[in-house]
Amino acid sequence: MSTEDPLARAYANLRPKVLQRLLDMRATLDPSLGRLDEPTARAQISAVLEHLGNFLATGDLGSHRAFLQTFLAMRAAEAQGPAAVLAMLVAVGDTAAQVAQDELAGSTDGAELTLLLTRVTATTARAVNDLVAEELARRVGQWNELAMRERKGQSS
Amino acid sequence: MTTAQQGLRVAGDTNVGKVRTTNEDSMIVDPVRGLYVVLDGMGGANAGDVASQTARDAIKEFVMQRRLTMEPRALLEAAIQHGSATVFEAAQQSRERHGMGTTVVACYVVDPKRAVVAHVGDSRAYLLRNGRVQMLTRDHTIVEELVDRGLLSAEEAERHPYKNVLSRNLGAKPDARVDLVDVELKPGDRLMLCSDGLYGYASAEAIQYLLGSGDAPEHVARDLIDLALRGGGGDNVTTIVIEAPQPLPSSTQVVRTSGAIAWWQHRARFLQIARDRGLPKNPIVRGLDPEEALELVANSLCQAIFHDLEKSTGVNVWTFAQNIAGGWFERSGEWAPLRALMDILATSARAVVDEIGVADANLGFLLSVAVSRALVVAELAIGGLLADRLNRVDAELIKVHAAMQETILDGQIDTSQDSALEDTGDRFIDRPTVPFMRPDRPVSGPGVSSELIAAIEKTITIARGRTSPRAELVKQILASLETIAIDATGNFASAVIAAREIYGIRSVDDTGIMPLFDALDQARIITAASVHQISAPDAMRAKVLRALSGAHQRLVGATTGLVLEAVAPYSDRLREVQAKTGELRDAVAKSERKRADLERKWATTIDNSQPWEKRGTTEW
Amino acid sequence: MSDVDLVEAVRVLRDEVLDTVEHGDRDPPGAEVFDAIVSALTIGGESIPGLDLTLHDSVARRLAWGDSEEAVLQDAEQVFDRLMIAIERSLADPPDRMVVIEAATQVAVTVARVVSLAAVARASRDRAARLREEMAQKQLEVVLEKQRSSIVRMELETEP
Repeated sequence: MSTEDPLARAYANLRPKVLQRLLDMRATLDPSLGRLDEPTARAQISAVLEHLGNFLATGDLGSHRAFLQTFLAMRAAEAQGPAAVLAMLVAVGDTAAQVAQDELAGSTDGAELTLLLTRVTATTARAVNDLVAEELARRVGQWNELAMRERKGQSS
Repeated sequence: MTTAQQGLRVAGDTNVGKVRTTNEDSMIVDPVRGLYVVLDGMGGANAGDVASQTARDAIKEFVMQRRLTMEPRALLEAAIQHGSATVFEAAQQSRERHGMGTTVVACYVVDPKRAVVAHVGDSRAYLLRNGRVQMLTRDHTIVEELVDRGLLSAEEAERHPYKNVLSRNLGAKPDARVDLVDVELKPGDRLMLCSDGLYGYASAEAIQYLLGSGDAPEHVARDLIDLALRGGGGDNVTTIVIEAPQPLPSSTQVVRTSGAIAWWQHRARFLQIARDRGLPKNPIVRGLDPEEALELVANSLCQAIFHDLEKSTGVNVWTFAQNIAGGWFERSGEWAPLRALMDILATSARAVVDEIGVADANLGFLLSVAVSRALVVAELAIGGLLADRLNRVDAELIKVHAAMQETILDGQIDTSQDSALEDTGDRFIDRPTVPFMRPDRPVSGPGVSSELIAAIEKTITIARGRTSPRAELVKQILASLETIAIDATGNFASAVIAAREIYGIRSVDDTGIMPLFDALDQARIITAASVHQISAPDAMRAKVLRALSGAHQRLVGATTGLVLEAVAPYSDRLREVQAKTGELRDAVAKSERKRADLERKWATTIDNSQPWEKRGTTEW
Repeated sequence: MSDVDLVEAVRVLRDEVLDTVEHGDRDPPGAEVFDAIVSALTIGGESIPGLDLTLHDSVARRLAWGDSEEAVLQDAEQVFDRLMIAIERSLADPPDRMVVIEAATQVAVTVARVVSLAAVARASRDRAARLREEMAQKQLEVVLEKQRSSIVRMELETEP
């Protein structure tokens, strides 16, 4: 993470508080997250928070999509649907913005960081839906192909 | 119904749903005593409503009588246990009600700042605070208990086929283990109690937005019911909404209201920007003239944001996004136009907010955050619809895949290049199997004297005569029963061989298996009736029935054994595929760690003088 | 023997037919089958309404707790066998024995049907789950491929 970007630095300082708040409320974020043991939940949430920090520094949407697509695929392999994943990611962003507002109230950095985190959450939600729509299009294609083969099989 | 108690506002509502014919839910809304309870009954032949009403009345009576002499937690726990004992006793007294039970979730409001919540089963309590909903209860299901004991992982729990089977309810035993939680109520909090007919048919996000809408509890309760009905309404649904006294307007709310006003005052500008960015040309509004398109879409969003700003909620934007996207998807619309439309609205809204910010930086900041938040809410609503579509497409894929299995086995589809279509054989054909041997089971039959054999043969002859000429399978079963009954070897080989012949070739699904068991059951009824018709003393008839029933039981057991053999490969293949998924996950996780390390390194080299959204250029 | 007396005469055989002593407070395996037989005797008739549903619920609970279909079936067979032995000794009247045998056979066929249908449902779920796993695998494969390209690019960009 860039050491020169003040907002990224402010976020880095707040990360432990954000992590703790998310761990405390993890069962409400997502029942399946609530069932994980603390070390596993901590690792999963930390990965999201770390990436968020990098994204705050780089603004690189391509890299952000990379992370999100990986995150979605991994959660899908754990039988987690995309709506639940989206809700979790939004909750992480919301919590980070809330902590920024609480801890840095009155400071310029606080206001800017809150706004940036809120925009990042909106970007995240948009990107997740785009990725899900792509996956949906792939499966619709697969369905159409299978349905055609099945019809051919029935008519022969 | 809405009532007030010490500044609380409360409302409850219930509905039978769209599928059931009886409402087995019941509730208590008792503001005088501060007691609010939702119950969801279960049990065949309408015993469920008896169970929930019996428990409801018992709990209410107990609280009425003891509330002045017991401490709140102890009172609620004891009341629920009394309910369980009452239901259990009622179940013992009537055969038809044996096994009936009910779930319960209860809230006892001690004062406007304190409540106790108790539950048994999977009816739930939620708390809305500062716009976020959290569950106060954890479902008492077998799966959750297995996870708690470390016998099931979180991931296995997600996939578990019986994840809704309860581990606790009122009435199964005289006493019940009750979970209790103390809740400190803060101004503006909302508690919601509900049966599974709500959360089973409505998304968590939608519930959150409705609960946080700021509308009066009776409207919220009714809207929650409507939400469940729109989601399918497959079960009875009941909900009670309890609202703590509202806080006094704060300075934050005053600023929020000015933000809403400023936003509204700029609506013409918003519409203009949206028009300039091409909204009227978007395929979603094709056929409408530009003014209509702007009114329908842009103005609706403008109003939604205004109302949400006023009330600090997201329900209006949520509803807007659901309506637009839902309507488009129903017309089989593609993703790209919807994304383009949402982007036009987003950039237009941001442009307006930037203009407001030039004149008033604080207001601009507030509105920037609010608009970003609104866009998140819209994406959440759309995300829910996308996820539903994905589930439906997956279900269709599975259906087509299953239908293709039949065609594959007939050799009509080439599967050589598609491993997803391979299967291990749905039909029990000529695979030699070891007979279903049970050497540990004693020969329990009455012995096979020649007299008994003759009586058995007579019985089967009568049974054949009672069987319809077209019921070939039943006749085959009767013949098998005769063979098995007179087999004195005791190793059940005859039962297995007979089962194989009867099973024949059939698909491993309900259509294939049900006729088999229907025929076995018919044979049972005919055989039993025929035994009563043979001319023999009662003692001999009893021996014949014992022999034939024993044969029947072995045949049925062997047949079930064959079904279990036929389904075994499905589990095996699933395990293989799951192992491969595990390996892939490990590979992706390892790769992601490497990518994240590089990303971190790269972040330190980034040029921060560039605007944020122009810094990185990774393609993905 | 009257119907009520017959039901009672069978009910008292519970401890003998099930391994109640071994299991203490917990419901012993096969209890759901024995209780269904008593229920069938109480209601009577060649086809008991609600028997399928009752047994479906109790079998579902056992399967949810992790018992296999084989175990449920074996327990049902054991209950049947033990009951046949027990009534041979305890019911002197052949017509009474016949009533019990008919009820027990009805329950045996129903349990087998319920277990078979549960197994078939499991096969269907397993097949659907396998397909979902394969779809998830495709997603992971796409991601892995993209990650590899991304790593190569980033390694080049972060080289000193």
